[in-house]
Amino acid sequence: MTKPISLKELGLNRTARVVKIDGGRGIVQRLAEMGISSGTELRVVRGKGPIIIEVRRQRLVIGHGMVPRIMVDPIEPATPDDKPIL
Amino acid sequence: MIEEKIVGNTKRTVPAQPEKSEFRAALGGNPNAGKTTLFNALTGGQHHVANYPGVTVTAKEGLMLHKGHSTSLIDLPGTYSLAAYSPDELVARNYVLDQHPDVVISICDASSLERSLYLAVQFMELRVPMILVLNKSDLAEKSGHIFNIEILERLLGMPIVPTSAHREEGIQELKDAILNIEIRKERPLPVKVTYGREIEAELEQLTPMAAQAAEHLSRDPRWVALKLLEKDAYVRNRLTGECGTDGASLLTQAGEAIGRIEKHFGDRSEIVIADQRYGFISGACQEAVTTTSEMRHDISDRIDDIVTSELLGIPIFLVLMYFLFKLTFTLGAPAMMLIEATVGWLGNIVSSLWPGGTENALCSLLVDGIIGGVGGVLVFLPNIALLFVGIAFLEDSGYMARGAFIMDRFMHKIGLHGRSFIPAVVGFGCTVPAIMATRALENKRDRLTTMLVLPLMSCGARFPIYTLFIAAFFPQPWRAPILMGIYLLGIALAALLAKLLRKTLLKGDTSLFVMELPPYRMPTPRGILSHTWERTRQFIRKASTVIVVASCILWVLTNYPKPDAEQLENLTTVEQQSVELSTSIAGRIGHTIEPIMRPIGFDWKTSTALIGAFAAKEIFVAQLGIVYSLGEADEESYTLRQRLRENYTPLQALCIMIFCLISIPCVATMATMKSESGAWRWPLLQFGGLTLLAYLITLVLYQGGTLLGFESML
Repeated sequence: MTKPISLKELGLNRTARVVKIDGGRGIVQRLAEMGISSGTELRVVRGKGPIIIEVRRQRLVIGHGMVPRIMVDPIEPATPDDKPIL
Repeated sequence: MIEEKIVGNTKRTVPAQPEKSEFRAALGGNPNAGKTTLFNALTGGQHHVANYPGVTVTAKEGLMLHKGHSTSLIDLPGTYSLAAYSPDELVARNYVLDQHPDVVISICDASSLERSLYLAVQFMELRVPMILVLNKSDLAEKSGHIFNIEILERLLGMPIVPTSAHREEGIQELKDAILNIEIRKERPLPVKVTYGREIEAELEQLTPMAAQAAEHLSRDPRWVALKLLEKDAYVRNRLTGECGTDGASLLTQAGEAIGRIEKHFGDRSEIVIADQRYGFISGACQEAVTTTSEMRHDISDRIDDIVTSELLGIPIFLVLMYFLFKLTFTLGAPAMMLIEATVGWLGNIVSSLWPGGTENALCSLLVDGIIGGVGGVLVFLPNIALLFVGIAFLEDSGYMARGAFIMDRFMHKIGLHGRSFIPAVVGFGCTVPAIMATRALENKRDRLTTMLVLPLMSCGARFPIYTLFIAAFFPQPWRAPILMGIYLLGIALAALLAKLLRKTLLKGDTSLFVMELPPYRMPTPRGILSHTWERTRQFIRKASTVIVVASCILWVLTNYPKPDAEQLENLTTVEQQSVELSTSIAGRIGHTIEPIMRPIGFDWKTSTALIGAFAAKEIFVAQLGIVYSLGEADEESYTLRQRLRENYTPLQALCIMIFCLISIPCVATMATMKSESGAWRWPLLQFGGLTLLAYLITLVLYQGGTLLGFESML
């Protein structure tokens, strides 16, 4: 397993698996009820500031304060074309 | 045969037929799962019980009649979970736990089933009989999901009904399923949700210890134990507050259990439990759902690619907003003239039939006071209703959530987040439902900031003021841009104030949010009508109650006391009216505050009208109507617009509109602020701050404008 990176560092259109959520109970609960918990697969659809991700076949906007708190493990290897979101 | 009866929030049931039963079914589901549409389809009506001030528990209730049986349906607030974070979540959870409905109907969005089931699982944890509804199953099938209902029913232990409330499919089947449970003697419970070996071991230990406290709180012991492991603040507080030493020792035990869980999993216990719930859900879905396409790449995504793009997102947003107002004006004009003519005709009929005409005080009260006052407001009903139609269309189509995403970057800069945008848009209709809509914001500071600046979102009640003045003073091509400008000014000021509040009174982080982007869909006429009606009704209710009463009071204030007969000698009719007005109570108040109001372009007449604006903004127009049509029934009638044109300059018109935009939130707004914020200091701060701001801005505008010579140019 590669070292987890934050969702902020995951490039546009990249797919990853959630490893850990840094945050208090409120944040964890909020993400869980929207479908994001450990092991969930997600894909970044649109980036910069708040981002749009696709998770469990729905689209969610993640506030930019929430973005760096979601630690993920990228599934596909990064290609040279991939740029970080910020 | 389907009949429906909506009853108030407090009463449980109202007998519509003698054979009615006490059987109650509660509807729960995510905000975008189509719960309201389903509720309407089951009860056969589009009516709503509005969330209105002072009501903390706002469960809507209706009656479903099916095959000779009647069932009470309770529409719980739409939530994503049953954690005790937002008031809505707590209402939904406590309703089920305290009111013991006979069955909970958990409505899932079949097109994002796993996420939807997270709420359903939490209902299962409450140990109540359930029915699971797979709504939007047509959409789900289109995007490649096939559901094996029998397997899913077995795995979850409850009847499952696929529906499409949008297309009214599956409604009869759902009614049958509800009736089945009603008729059957035994009420089987859903399967017990399990959380894996480690958590189960802790639950097994903790549950017997929680038995006594659980009985005291009238909750299921296993549920109490689970909530303790999840660190549920509400349950912990009640234990500490109500269960004394027993509660304290239980909390210590739970703390130790949490320690063991966190050590074992290397993560927080609440995360572990959430993961286990999804484990349970994934397990069920893997067996019962087949998905033919790997990822969805449907029309919705392609629209999003354009609508949320960096390049086009903001222009599209602005164009949509412009058309919203443009259409409102263009389509509203003919209906407006029709109502205007009808009101005039009604007034003439009454005064010509009444013995003595408007010389008679009662007739004058009726014609000039009530018909004139209410009529002056109702004239703008078409515009307000059209605006709500437009908003409903954008909401139902799914665009509003994209608007919130696009606005977030901007909203964040002013200390609010994207989700505050939705109450703000509702605020363009009426501030009261907008304040209620802030309940969706779970952070109290976000919520307070949003509520405090909401009156700057120019509500429908202020719309009559703008349409009156804009139509009176500005040529057709200028009208839509000026209206837009006033709305934008309100938005800009709201932005500044929000930023100020965030830097001073209400500091905090606003960027911690998650928001769903529901798939786009074509709104149904029924859905749009229902949303429009819900909001328009509040406007009409105000016109028929507050405004009638206020019109009568204002009529008295503007008619009494009468001047002495000598004062009126040797004067023309017009001069007499002017003297009569001047001597009335309202005129005297207007005169008294005139020195303060003169520097911002108000004379005593418009100052007088402001007194009424506190009761409800639209009364400003009604009162101007009364002020300018007094004693005119025997003359060739001038319209209010002509009278305004004769008395004011366009610069004054602008100042009047801007002052009305910013100052003095209406009585209903302040009452709602008090009940929703829980303290008088917030509405009072709002009142004082906004009125002061309004004065300063119009002062600069009027004095600056006069100095630069705009007075004569415009």
